[in-house]
Amino acid sequence: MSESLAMLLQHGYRYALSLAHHTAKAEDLLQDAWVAVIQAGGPHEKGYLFCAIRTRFYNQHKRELLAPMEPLAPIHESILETGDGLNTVLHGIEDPRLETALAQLRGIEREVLFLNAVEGYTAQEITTITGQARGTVLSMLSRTRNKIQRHFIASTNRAVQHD
Amino acid sequence: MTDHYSTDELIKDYYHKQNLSADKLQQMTEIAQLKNQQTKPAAINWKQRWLAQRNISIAASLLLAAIISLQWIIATPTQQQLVASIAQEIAINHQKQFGSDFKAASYIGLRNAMKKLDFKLVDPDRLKARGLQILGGRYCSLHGQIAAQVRLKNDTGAIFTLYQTSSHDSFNTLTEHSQRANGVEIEMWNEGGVFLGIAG
Repeated sequence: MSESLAMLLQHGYRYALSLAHHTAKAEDLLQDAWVAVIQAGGPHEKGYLFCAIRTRFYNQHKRELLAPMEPLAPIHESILETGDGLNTVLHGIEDPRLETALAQLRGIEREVLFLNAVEGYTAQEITTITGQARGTVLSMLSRTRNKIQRHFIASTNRAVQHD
Repeated sequence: MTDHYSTDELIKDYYHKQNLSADKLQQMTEIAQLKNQQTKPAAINWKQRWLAQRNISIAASLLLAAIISLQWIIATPTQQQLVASIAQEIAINHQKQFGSDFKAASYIGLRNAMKKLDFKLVDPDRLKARGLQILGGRYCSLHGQIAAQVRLKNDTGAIFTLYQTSSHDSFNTLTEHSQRANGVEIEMWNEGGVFLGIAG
């Protein structure tokens, strides 16, 4: 297996995860996008793959808003119940507070944060990828970070009170 | 966690720990490899298709050329067929025995009278010894070309008709011929750039 190909797919998976915040959905997103890239004979590049993933995520998201779908079979994975009832399926979580904080974010917020904090894209580059205005991207980054911090503080306070 | 830097570090660390399962990774790599394998034969197929189309085109061109050649060979009359056809036409014209439209006693006189001819009437050497008298002439056609029919009479009073037309196209390839058509003796030859045929 090519090392660069494996790296590319891992990058794609993490990006899909930032959007969907659900491992199975992220895998499906990546697979759909990957098949599309291959069938189109597109370049094996991160930007191209991200674009394919993003398009599929938002198309799927629109469909789900129009016609909510129930899974045919139960998902046999560990499900973490969040405080406000959000279900997320994630592997290897060390700090459940971070996972809960991420689960409470909107997809676009997680995406923007992921692209900046994990992939190292600048605000201008994120603007190109997401189609959001540069000012919106900057304020969204700031607000998202604050949300996570507030969530951490609130969780810590609740834990202290509980003790 | 007190600042953005540490938030980002946490986020980064969190996502770097999320990995696509080995099975999925293998599956997706295989998809790429499968596509590569499918692409190579497709290139060969294009080449084969192009070669097949080229061969079909060549074969079709050769067939078309053969058909055209065959048709041309069939449609082009042989010299023998041409001679027979002209002889037949001369015999029919001779048997009609139409009167002369232009009265003249010499070829020069007829030439001056028949101005529509696109060739000059000749006084054929071949007939000089026969002592034929010119009675007159008229326009006619021979093998689709304008021709002159000259009425002649010999010492015994027998009527002959002489046909002259421009010796071009198929006529100039005709060699001297004598043959019988419709019971009429016909001689044909070329002389001075003119095709001649006499019946009688």
